[in-house]
Amino acid sequence: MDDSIVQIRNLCYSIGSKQILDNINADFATGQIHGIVGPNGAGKSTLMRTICRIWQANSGTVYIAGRDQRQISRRELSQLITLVPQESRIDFSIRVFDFVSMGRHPHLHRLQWLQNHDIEIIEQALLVTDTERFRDRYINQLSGGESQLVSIARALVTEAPIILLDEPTSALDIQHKLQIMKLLALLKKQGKTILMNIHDLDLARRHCDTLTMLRQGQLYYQGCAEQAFRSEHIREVFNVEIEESTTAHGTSLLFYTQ
Amino acid sequence: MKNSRFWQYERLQTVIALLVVLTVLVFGVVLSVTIGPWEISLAKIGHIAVEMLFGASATNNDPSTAIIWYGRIPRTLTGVLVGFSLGCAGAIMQGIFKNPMASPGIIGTSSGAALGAVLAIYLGLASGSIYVVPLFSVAMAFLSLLVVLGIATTGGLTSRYTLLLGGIAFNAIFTAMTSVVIILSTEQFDMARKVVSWLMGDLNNRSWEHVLIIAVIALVALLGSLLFARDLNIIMVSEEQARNFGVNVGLSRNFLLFFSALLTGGAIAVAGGIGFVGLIAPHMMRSFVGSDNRILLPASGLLGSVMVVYADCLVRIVGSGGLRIGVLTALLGGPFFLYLIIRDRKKFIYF
Repeated sequence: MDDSIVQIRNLCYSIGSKQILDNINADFATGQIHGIVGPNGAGKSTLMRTICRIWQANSGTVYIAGRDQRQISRRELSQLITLVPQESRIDFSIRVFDFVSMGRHPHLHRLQWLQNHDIEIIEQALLVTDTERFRDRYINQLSGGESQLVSIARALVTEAPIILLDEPTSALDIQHKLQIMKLLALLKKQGKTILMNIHDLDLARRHCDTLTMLRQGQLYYQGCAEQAFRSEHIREVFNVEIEESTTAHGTSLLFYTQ
Repeated sequence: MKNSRFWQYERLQTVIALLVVLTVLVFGVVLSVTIGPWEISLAKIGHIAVEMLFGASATNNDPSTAIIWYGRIPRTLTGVLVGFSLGCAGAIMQGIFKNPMASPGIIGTSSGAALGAVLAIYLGLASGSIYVVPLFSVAMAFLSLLVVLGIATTGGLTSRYTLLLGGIAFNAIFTAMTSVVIILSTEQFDMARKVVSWLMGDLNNRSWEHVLIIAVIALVALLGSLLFARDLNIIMVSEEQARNFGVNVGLSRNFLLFFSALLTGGAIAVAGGIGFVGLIAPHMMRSFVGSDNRILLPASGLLGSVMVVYADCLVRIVGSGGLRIGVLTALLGGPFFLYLIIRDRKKFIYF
């Protein structure tokens, strides 16, 4: 696949003797939403962190827009690819605007303050994510859904064409889940490539263009989302049974254990 | 620029807070040079300062010149710079440890620096050069910081629980070792007395050499840490995110650790143990100027100066020789620390 903005070749990552990622090969096409699924401990979060080199892989290569990721400086890499982490606890009172402005860091020189151009980009990100209304609130006073939106705004501010999201919806209520998915669809329309770890398989099937299934650190399946939900796949990866049920509003998935 | 009114109000609040602290500091400095057993008018003090500064016909025979120029002014300036260093060091540490309770005194950096200084005095190295004590205390401060950080950090996360417990352990160890050195030195009664008195925090008999040492240290460390202040803004949210936004976390953090050790060690070396300034100053300034370290670092320094200069004034007015600055700051700072613990105790249940 030549149009793949992220290409992973023989990627391995281990902590001590524990193999977390075992020879992963995968391609992620430009301008699509890619879901990464798998049971807890399958290596999803590790995969994300090695893709954007927050953690250094033991062996193997990640190509970002055709370039070996290890050959790209940290600063430039941060302009190409950015991670939206799961919610983290912050002990300091930081205003949403200042928090979002951190995303400009890779674009600024050491002693440079925000320029008008940067502020415009921040304002735009606040508007797109619908977080403009709490720009002056403190980050540690936001709800889970609100702070997830703010984290996405911060990722947009980097202007990186590739956005990685680590479980963006797992702690959210259904309304916020759908709001995030709608936002991701909008970002896709703007040309962003999105990779996200996601636990909610139904949500993944509806909103992702491709699905990548991980099992015990190995790639089990990569391909279109529809094909991914064959019952033998689900049984082998998640150890549960699956049934589709169709209503007037579409098909939904039913999972159960034997 | 499309800025909301609130945003501009924030900026205004920062400027006002800085101006207020600066005014209070200037007033404290003036107050400090007028306090002493010899009453010398403010006009005369100003006259002496200008005369000595611009090297006009120095009337060295005048005893008030000696009192002001070689006594009160260096004492006051040392206080200003020591307070600045401690406040600034506290702000840096709170950022690195991602914890508003980190400070030189609480996580063992001060007691490490004190041990270094006492060792230098005991081994008789201090008499050789005035720079030996600062060198020893900065080195020990840096070492203790590295060890505490190593213990409290696992997988890029720093636990507040481990950090504070580690601080208790290191404070105990360093204080005990310092005691050993004091006991060993009791044979020379005068040295033991000097060491103990110095440990309590003292600005008596500070010379221009002390001013010079701490001025150079404070300037280098402040300018140096400002280079990394925006990195620190993100590091204090999460090291992973800092890396994500292009910060070279290892480099920035080590430099910042070094600068905070330099500030703590330098302050301890010239003024002894003055506790809690590094905890309180950043804490209070944060609510006025916000969490941006580019402003918070110098702002905390200024408030630290205010605290030490006024503590020194108070000690001279009411202390009559018995009270020491370090004792006073601990008496006031201890309850403040308790207040923080009580305020945050719900969080402690979970972490």
